[in-house]
Amino acid sequence: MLQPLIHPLFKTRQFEDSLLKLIGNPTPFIDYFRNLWVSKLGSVNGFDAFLQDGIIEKNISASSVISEAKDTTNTSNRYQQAEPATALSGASFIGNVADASQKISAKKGGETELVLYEKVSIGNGSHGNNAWLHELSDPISRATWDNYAMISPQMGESLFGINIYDRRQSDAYEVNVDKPVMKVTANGKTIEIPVLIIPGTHPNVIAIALGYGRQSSQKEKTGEYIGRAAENVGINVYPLTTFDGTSISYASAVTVEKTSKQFPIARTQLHNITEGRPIVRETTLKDFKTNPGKLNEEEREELERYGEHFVPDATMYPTYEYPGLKWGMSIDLNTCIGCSACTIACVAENNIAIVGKKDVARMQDMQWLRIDRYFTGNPENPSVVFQPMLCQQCDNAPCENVCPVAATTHSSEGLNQMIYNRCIGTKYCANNCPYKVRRFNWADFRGADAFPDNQRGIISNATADLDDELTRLVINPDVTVRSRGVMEKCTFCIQRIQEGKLHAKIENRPLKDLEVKTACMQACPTQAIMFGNVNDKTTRISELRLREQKERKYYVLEELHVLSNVNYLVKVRNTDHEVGDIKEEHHS
Amino acid sequence: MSLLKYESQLREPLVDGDKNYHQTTEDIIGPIETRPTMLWWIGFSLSLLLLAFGVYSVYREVVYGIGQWNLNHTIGWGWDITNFVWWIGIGHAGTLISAILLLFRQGWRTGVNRAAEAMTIFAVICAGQFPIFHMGRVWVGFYVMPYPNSRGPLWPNFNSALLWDVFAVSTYFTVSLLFWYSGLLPDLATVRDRAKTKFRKMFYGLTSFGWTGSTKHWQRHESLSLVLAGLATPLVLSVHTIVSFDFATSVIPGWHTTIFPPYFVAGAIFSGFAMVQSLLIVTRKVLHLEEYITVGHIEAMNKVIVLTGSIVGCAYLTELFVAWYSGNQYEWWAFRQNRVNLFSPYGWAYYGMMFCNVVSPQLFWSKKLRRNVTFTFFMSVLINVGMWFERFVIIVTSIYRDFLPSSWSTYYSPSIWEVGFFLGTFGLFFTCYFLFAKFFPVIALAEIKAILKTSGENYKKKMTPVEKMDSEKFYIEEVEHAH
Repeated sequence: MLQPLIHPLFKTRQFEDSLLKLIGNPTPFIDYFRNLWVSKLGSVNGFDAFLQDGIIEKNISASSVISEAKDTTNTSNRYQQAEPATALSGASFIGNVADASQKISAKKGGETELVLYEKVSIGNGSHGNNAWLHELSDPISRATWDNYAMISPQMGESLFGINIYDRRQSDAYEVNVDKPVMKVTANGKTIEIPVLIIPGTHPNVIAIALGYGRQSSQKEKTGEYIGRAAENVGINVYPLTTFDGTSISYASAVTVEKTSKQFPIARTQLHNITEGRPIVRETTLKDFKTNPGKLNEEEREELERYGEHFVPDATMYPTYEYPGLKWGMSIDLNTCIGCSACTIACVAENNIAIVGKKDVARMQDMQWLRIDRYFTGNPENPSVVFQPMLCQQCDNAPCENVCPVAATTHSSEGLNQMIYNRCIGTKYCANNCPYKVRRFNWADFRGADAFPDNQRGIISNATADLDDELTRLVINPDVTVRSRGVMEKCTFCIQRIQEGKLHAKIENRPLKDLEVKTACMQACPTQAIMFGNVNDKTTRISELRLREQKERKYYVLEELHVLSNVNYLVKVRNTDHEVGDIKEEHHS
Repeated sequence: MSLLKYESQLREPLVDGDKNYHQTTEDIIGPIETRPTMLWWIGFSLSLLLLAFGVYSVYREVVYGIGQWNLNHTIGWGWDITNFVWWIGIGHAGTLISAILLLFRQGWRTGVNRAAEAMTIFAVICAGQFPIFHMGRVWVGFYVMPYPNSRGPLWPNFNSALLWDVFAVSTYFTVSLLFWYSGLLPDLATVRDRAKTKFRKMFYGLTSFGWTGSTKHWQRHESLSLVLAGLATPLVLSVHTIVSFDFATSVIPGWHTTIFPPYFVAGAIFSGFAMVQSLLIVTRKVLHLEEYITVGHIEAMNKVIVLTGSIVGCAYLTELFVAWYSGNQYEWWAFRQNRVNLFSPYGWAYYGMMFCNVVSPQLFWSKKLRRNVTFTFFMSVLINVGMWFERFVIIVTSIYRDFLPSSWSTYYSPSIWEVGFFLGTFGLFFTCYFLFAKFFPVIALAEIKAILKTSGENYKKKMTPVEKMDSEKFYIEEVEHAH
């Protein structure tokens, strides 16, 4: 059965309506369809029952049902048996490994090698018209909306005279959006591309992402034919690949040359290291095994000094006990791989606006959940820690008490809420947020405010595709779209919490653990994010916090006494190398 | 031998030149009764142009969003609140001069109080624009007003320092306006009495509220002045204290500082006096009022500047010391790297502030420089630049690199519309000031006349025969007569 499900979109006509019109039948399709089935089934009731059940019950003989079922079982068995066979057939590889490796190494003639890679967001370029993915910052470079050549600090110094280990120079380098441009020549082709100095890059390697610089055969129509997000984004480096008749090589020797040009790169994180701040914590497996309690020893000692009632003791206001549900989140730094799927899930779930390159460059980006990346360990050969950072839903939230109109308040379940239509947009809350996770609507990205839609030409064209009449319809109907001039932030997907509670209420039962999942948790491929009710000591998150990962649990900036509801789990590395913050000494 | 000296050896006269009451009236009311000069028109037009640019800048921000400015999710306040605090600071001298100096019976205030009060009012009007238009949704800005409403009723958050600001600034504005206007009444009546055209008679008749100069009027006027001075005195201290709470009650390193209230108040008086100097040095020259706003006045204000400037300098150093002494790594970072490090992105702002506010006012220990009008003008501008730097340093260099290095900001420089908004408030300020200087007596005429009884050439002349009398004669002629 195929019946109309939505109202006609704009001024369109359904296909079946057109057919009816062609045969000169003036009845709308929905009525025609209904009449047909009512007459077939004999009554309106029959039709309604059919709609409700989704099937028409007939008297079918039992034997035929069984034979059909048998067929299905056989098919699925065959399929299941066949699958592992193909998957494990790697052993059948017949090739000369030595020969292949010789061929690959033979190519490395020049001093510098170019590596062409696919970014986690854009891939090979097939997503080149997707504004969400363009605005998703790369896990390592934290850059959006462009490709660029990643070079090592050594090359940065020899080529451009920028020593990022020198504070004075790194300060100037990081706050300046305009990055130097270099000329890369490979296979007789030359491109000019901006440069980002990334610690940990091999000194003789430059890396450039593929899949950028996508354009239509008629260049000026790229926006129209491919999508406005694809216009003028990055440089196409496919010409730098080589094809030897059988395969494409993505690595080749190149010559690089400095130019005096500069090009703006929009990054969402500029500073590379933690500056000795206990924000991301790491330890080695050996240390952890020897003394797991050492990790939060300091915290325990500190808290002991204030006694058990340090929360009510530390405030002049009455404290709330949270008798019912109390939401908390635990994020495991061990398992987070920085893929940023959570960020995109959050963008999709919460109708977060895309702002375009120019506005990301001046840090007016809107994503509620970001992956902070810090380089730690040996600065010459650093390790990377990814830290998903989102609203910590502080119980003693610095943002809440500074709002002059009480537009951000604390819920009885420990959530820090935003009341959009109360917000007057002073930005005081964002200033006072130690985690800087509040996001402001700098412009009217959704055509949602009291003023007429006047933003074209003001905000980036790349946002237009997500705001057109048709694409707007994918906006999550459970979440308010925010108007210009209000603050917004993560609320642990409160719409999902609400939905879960309503379900439980309808079924007259308490909410089950893991029944409500935040979008980020759901999207995380490594299950680094756990969310749940921390008042219930049997939930998964309580299990993590109180027993399983008790020693690894810590809170970011706990010393501010903001009483955050998001804990992190210390990263444990199975290594003999130095782990932890890059200290000041390394800089000088 | 002369028994009594009527001319002080220590204090110079408050009014120079041989003035009688009529001459004083002519000098001060005169400019109001003539056509505006070419210079006035030029100045006024320039101010209006700046104001128009400001209005357009604000229009863009209201219609297209705060994205017209270069603020970001790390630097939520930039030029807007810097300018707000700067203007509010400037608006501190007027009320200090009129209220606190009135209570302390400082005679020299009479020459400068009218213009300083006017400046206060205009500065507070300018200051008010910034918190209003820094709101993302200015059209619902009335939510901050506590009144029984149909939305619940929903009250504002009385814990917020920003709400305290609303009350502090609006109270200050109201009291300052009343104070200024009640002082204007006798002078407006004088203008009215001399008015020749119908329009002027009507305008000054209305604005002087039927002042007749009766003893009863004067008695009530004096009482009102004292009451308002009593009300305004705590306000001088409270307004900037509360403005400083915007920062002091936050958690941000560099903001969360208990020294802020006294430090802000001293800084406000410092910048307020500097602005009074800038304005009055020009006004006295253009309107030929050098005999009423004397070098003695300028020197007196320079003394206040060197005092408050030194307090501010002490506060800067204390703050720096405490940041180190606290052992708080975030706090110390905010000072050591974000400010004191000359090569950090905003190092220039910190050293600009230190030079303008701490080093340069120390030159005023020299009496010669204190009495040098040109030098004072130059210094007054320098100090106001320095005080702008101070607010910028406090606001921007604290938040642009705070707790999490991942959120550290790019180099924030204002967009043309942010600059335009600031220039627009200059336009607003000078438009108001030009209108004031043209249509209102810039010196408190009635109060000058009161001090003529005890100061100035005329008084000295009258007293010369008295000084020459011996005590017997003096007793018979003067004291008996007085009884």
